[in-house]
Amino acid sequence: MANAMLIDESRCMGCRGCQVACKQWNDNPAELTENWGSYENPPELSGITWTKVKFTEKVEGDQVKWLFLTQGCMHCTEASCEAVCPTGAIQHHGQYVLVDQDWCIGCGYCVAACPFDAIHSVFETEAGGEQKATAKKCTFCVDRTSNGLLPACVKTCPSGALSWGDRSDMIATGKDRVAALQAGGYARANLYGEDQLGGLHRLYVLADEPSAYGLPEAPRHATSNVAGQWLSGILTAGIVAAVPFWLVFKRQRAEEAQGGGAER
Amino acid sequence: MILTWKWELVVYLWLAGVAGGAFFVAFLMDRITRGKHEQLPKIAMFLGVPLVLVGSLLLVLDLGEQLRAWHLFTRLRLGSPMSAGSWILLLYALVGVVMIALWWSKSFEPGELRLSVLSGLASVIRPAASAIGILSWIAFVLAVLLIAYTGVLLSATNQPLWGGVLLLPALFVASAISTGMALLVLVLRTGFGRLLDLLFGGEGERVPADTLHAMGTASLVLGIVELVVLVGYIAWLAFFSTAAGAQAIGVLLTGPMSLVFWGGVVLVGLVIPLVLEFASLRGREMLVGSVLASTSLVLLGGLFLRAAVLLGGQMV
Repeated sequence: MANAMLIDESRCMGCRGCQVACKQWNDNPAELTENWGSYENPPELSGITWTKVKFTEKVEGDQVKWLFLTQGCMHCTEASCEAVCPTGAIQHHGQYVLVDQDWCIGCGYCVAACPFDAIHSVFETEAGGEQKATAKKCTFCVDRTSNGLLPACVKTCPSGALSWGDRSDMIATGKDRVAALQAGGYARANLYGEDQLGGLHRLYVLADEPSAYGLPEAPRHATSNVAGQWLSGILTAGIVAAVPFWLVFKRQRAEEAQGGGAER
Repeated sequence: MILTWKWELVVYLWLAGVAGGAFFVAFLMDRITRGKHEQLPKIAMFLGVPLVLVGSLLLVLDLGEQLRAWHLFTRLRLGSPMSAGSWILLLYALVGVVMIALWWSKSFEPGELRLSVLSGLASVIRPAASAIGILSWIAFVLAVLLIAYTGVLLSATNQPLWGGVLLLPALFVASAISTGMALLVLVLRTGFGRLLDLLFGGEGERVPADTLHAMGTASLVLGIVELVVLVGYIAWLAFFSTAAGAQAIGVLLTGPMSLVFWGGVVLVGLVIPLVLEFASLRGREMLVGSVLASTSLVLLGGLFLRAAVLLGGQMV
């Protein structure tokens, strides 16, 4: 029985209580940020910000829609971070994708591999500089949830946008809500995360298309074509480089075979 | 904007490419001419091992937890290009060090009196010197994997400029071979190569003018190959990848990396050296100055390419 988080973005009011609860429970310090013209703050997830609400303004006709997206690790079934991790520090434990903080070397590969930009190894220190450390991200509050408590963000959410429970229940609830939204005039409402990357454990009820929120419609697994990429590099070495080499130096071989004595 | 991988990785990717590329071309030249250029693989390895070691040091420096670097060698995860690459790097350096030791042992005449401890050591490992032939083949395979892996590393991610782009490994390989050749030509032309050869027991034989000329032609061909692959890489991103990929090349062509790309990669790394190489091949006598300039520029261009792709990829 795998649990999952269901995030109903049609109920989110952008209060960012989840951000604060996450910081508090996980002992993550605040970030030094500058006003960049949006209530969205901090602007990016980082090694010390594991969840945040992304604000998107979508203009439709003469109306502006304000879309909220509670970002964080999706705990993918086919997790790119787990696949690329060179030390095996990132592993699945049931539905949780967790980084072993004692084994991670802080190479940053998972940061580049994540399709959702949800894991980070660099953060801004309070003094203002940047620091690189081990990779950190949302853990679904494993220390809470494995003891029967709700994740901190879910616990604190005042609008009922966040819920936590059995994944199939969450999917059923999500589908009901999508149907209700569609009946209520949100024709593009959809459930995100049911099938992507083998199934995400962070599911979204979206009032608009995933791309409107900045979510990839078809997220790609980082190593899905790694064999082809090896082949591309090796073939280039083999054909594109070795062939001209052969042509250039073969002539020399023939010349040396004839008049080699004179040369040496 | 926070960059996870900074200059350390840029320099590392460049050094690994140069080191692997140099041995790749040297070995091929020696094999194709049936062992006529024995000193070239040697020189390439003498240069390549320190470059790889410096690169590895930079890699460790870049880690968030540097003292845990050894964790890399507790697992072999072939699906992770970084794990595979770490092992390739380690094996390449080991094979390289062994080959250098064996070459060095050959430089001692039996019974020769130098520092007695050293000659004693040399006489111990000298019987194994016949393994150099097999080790060269192993080093060649490792060199190919090494230069390929730097590109695979980036393409097995989800950054629009890198992720899933099949031509990125091809581009890095083409650049690695091109810069490797440039390094060889540079050290041969400046006499540094002969010095290395002499130091390690070779005869410091001059590389024949024919060979240098052929290397000039090969440099030109390699430069053209790299240019074609670069155009292919940009075109691939523009026309065949996702919308995000097509948008991402803006970083290189018009965005924050445009100066590095147009000035560093295209002009300094490709156009100027190609013109110089072409001009010096037309006149049968190659001007030393122009060769030194073109090889240095090719090497610099390789650095700019890594910088543009690695830093630019994180700016999207």
